[in-house]
Parts: sequence; structure tokens; C-alpha cells
Amino acid sequence: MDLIAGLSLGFETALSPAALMFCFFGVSIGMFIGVLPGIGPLAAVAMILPVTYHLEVSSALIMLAGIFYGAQYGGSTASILLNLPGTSTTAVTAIDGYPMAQQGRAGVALFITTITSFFGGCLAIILLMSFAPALGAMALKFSSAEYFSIMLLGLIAAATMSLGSPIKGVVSVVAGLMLAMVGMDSTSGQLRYTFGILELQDGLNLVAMAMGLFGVAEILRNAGTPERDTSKLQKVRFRDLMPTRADLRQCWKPSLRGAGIGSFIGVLPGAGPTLAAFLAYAAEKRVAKDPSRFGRGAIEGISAPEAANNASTQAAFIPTLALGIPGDAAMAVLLGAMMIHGIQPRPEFFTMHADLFWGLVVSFWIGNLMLLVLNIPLIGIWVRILTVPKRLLFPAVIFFICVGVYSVNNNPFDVLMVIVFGLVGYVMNAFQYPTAPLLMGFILGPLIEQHFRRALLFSRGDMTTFIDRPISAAFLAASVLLLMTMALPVIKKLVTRAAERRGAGAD
Amino acid sequence: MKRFDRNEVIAALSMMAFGILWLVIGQGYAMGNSVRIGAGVFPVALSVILIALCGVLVLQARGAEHRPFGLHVRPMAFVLGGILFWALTVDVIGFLPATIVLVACCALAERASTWRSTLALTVGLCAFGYVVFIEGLNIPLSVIGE
Repeated sequence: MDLIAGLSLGFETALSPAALMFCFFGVSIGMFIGVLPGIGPLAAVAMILPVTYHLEVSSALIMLAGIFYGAQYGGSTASILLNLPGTSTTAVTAIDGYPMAQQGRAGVALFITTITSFFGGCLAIILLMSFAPALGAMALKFSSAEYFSIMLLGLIAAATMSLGSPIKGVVSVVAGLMLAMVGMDSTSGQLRYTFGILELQDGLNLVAMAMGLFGVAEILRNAGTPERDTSKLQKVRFRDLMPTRADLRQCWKPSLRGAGIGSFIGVLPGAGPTLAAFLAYAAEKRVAKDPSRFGRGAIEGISAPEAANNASTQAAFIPTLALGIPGDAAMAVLLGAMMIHGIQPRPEFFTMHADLFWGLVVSFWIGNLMLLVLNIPLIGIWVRILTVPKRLLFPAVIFFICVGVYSVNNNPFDVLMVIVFGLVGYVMNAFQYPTAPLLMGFILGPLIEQHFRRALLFSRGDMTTFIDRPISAAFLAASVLLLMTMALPVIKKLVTRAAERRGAGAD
Repeated sequence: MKRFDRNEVIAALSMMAFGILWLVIGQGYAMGNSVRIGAGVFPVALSVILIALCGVLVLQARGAEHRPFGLHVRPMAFVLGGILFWALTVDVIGFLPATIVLVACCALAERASTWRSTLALTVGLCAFGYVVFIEGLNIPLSVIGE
């Protein structure tokens, strides 16, 4: 299908009143959640997931996607005004955004982040339109061996490219894969790790896990701590928003670079918007004539990462839709949502569900446009949301989590699992084991096992099938390379330590 | 001599314990052959990898920076206790009473909560939950238990 026909089909789907309404709901909820510090888009998507069971599939996806990119817009508001990132992806924005607010330029900073987010999003959508179907067509030739290798690459990338210790990242992924083994094995029908509990036969519940790890764990960390200090919150009026001509001149190049970096990172399976924003910021600092301005309110320091995180959010749909391999944990939840609706994201997606794909793409544009309108004239309202105290916010969030999880299977057992995963998430956060790779592993676990077993069945037990096929071999080589770059510094450290000890023993 | 950071070691060892549990149970599943891989192969292989990696983490804990680990016992107990109560009783005493206890419990976790704010929040959430979830989405919850 060519671009024009695709787009017209997309407009037909996305401009229906229902689609427009759910797109609007999605981006508003996302914006709202993004503004509130502490609750990320992942928890938001998971909380709304149960509601979408009752919707038609295109509306459900449009709304869920809207939450996801809407939160990227909203997250910057708290970063700039309170120095509290609303989501981890906008943590970088606070570095230069908050100083700008202190200098009385909060309005300008908010305007710039909105515009650059929009710009980054648009660039990535164009990429999505032009490359995703082509990638899908290429992936039609993939067999189980290729799928296994590319999923392996995605998982390793998710583990090693998160911030912090890469080994802890890999431990998280492996733990997630192991939790995915709970339930009935789809190939042999054997029950695994159910401990005789009937509710575990269908496996652990994705929504309960996501809510525990990302909703409850976050609330446990912040519960009982003092309320946020909102007394310094500035009033932002519409006329404060206008940037000067010099501001705009200063930020268009960084936005372009940021959008490019973001799109690239987004396409990689396993690397999410947080990494994109950090890389874009680092790149700007490197190319700047005067790097010392960074951290003191440099406009490049907010425009590049904001363009990057939004671009990567949109570009992450490319591997998710074409290959069924999520770019990051929030995409993984979205993927889970698609599977619940009976849609298996795979190469045929673009031809079999052409209306869905193009509808989604066009809705991204509409949604980004809506966010632009929501943000710029209505900024005062979003700023006021920041003053909602925890004592009202937290009980409400917990209530929505309980009802939301219950409604998935109408089963209180899943709510008990939320408690378990809330505690697990809390402890993992405390020791800086990243929780997002755990979820990635959990979602990809059954798929990667199935493809591995199927590949061996086709090759009559010959393991070389994974390296005989060139595409599969390339993915495996990339995985090994990633693992090596992670392992080398660790090995080096251990060896020098051992040498030191031996040296000390000889004295 | 650098010392092992105790908290880091405990964290890595608990993860390892999870690996050992999975390994022991996984031994009981069919292993199959190289053409038809059995249900036990993946879990066992993954457990071995996990245990090995946790071993590396234990070694790395030597001289690691000490991260204080404290539990906010009171607020955590209130939040988790509230969820536990809701999960155990919602099918017995019904949606309204369970939700009232849940919201009150979670509000108690925050010291800044006042009677008025908590009451208003409880009423608001109960009403919203009733209209949206029970009437709107037809979630099969009884409002008040029989």
C-alpha cells in the first residue's frame, strides 16, 4: 500500500468521532499523569488498560498510545517548575529548565519544550510512516531463528543500556524471563511454577505486575515523606510564554539533532526515551561553543532532550509494530494490550491491519496537535495540578490500581499479586536493580522460548541454525558485542583487584 | 582491605535464592531432546545464568558504596495493609465498605491528612467508582455484601 492510500485510510479511521474522542482522552490523561511527579506513563497505561477491554481495538490503541506520548509532554512541566521530574524521561530537562524558571523564564522554557516535543514527534512519525511497512515486509522472511536472535538482542539492549549497573540490568531481565515461565507451557501443556495455585495456571498477570512494580513501588517510596514544596511555584501566564527571536534561533539546530538521536534510539529495540534524552543532552554539551552555560539555563539543554524523548517515543512504535519487539517497558505494556485484544504485532500487521496501523499513525499527528493546543493556552491549569497534595493523590491512585487490577479477571487474587510486586519493586529500586527490564523479560519470555524451541524443531536439533542464517547471525553478533562491552570493564576490575591482593600477600 | 557492603550482598543473595528455587523446581520438568526441547530446559538454563550473575554481583559488592536501606514502616504498613484488606474482603463485604477502609488506610499513611480531606476524598472516590466501574463498565462487584 502506498503512502497516500495509507494516509487516506488513516484519516478515515482516526477522524471518526470515537477515535478523536479517545485520542483526546488519551493525551489529556497522559498529560495529567505526566505532570504529576512520581507516576510515570507506564503506571498510567497499566491503570487505563482494564478500561480499554471494553473498547473497540483501534480506539483502545489510539487512547493507550496517547497516554504514552502525552506523558512525555506533561513530564517536562514538573521538571521545569519544581525541579521534580514528572517522569524519568524528563529528568534531563530539569538540569537547564529549572534554572530558566529561577531566572523568571519558566514560560519560555515551557513553550520551547512543547514546540520541540512536537517537532521531535513529527519527525519520528514521518520515519514511522516511511520505514515501518518496509521493515515489516523485510521481516516477512524472518523465521523463528531470526525472531529468537532479535529478541535476544532487544533484551540485552534493554538490560545493558539502562542507566546504572549493566549486570543488575541483565539480572532483572533474566528474573523477568523466569517469572514468565509461570503457568501452562504452551508447547507441552505442562504446568510450571504454579505451586498448586489455580490462579497461576494462566501465568502471572501483566497488569498486576506493572502496577506493582511501577505504581505501588513508587508510592511506597514516597509515602510518609513530607509534602512537596509548591510555595515557590510561579504563576505562568499566556504572555510569558513567548520566546524571543534569539531563543528560537538558538534552539532549532539542537532540536533537529535531538530529534535525530531520539529517532535512532527509538528504533533500537530495548532502548527507551530516557536514554535518548540523556544522549541528546550529552551531545549538545559536546558541540556547544561554551559548555559552561549548561546547567545554568541553556536553552539548548532543554530543546534537544525534549525533542529526543518525544521522537524516541514515536519511533519506538517501529520495532513494536513491525517485529513485536518493544522499545521499552511502556511499549511492552502496549504490546501486552495488543495481544489481549487478539492482535499479534508481526510483519503481517501492516497488511492485515492496515486500517489500524494508518489510523494509529494519523492519530499520533492529531494527538500531538491536541497536545500543542492543550499545552500552550491552558498552561495555567496544568501548573495548578502540580499543587495537588500527596494526601489526596496517593489514596486515589491506590484505589484506581486496586479496581483496575481486579477488573482484568474479576479476581482479587491479582490484587494480592500487586502487593507482592509492589514490595519487590520497592526493594529493587532501593538497590538500583532496574525494574523496567524485568517487565520486558516477562513480556518477551514466552515468545522467545517458543521461537527457540520452534527453530530447533525445524532444524532437527541443529543449533547452528542460529548462525547459518545471515540475519540471525548479525543479531547474535550484535548481542555478543553488547555483552562484551558490558563485561570487559567488570572483568578488568576483578582481575586488577585479584592482582592487587596477590601483590599485597607477597609483601 | 576493602569490606563487602552487607546490604548489597543481601540483595544479590536474595536474588540468587530465587534462582536456586527455580532451579530446584525446574529439575522436575521434562528436558526433552535436542529436537524437541522440553519444558524444563529454559527455566533451568535461566536459573543457572541468574545464579552465576548474582555470584558476580556478590563479588562486586566488595568495596561498593554503602546505600542506606530503611523502611518507612508506618506508611508502608498502612498502604499495603489497605490493599490487602481490600483484596481479601471486597468479594465478601462489598465494594463500598472495602473502598472506604482502603482510602482511609492510605490517607492515614500521610501525616498531613485531615479528617475533612479524607472524608471528602472517600466520598468522591466511592461515588466515582460506583458510577464508572460498577454502572459504566459493569464490573461484577456488589456494592454492599449480602
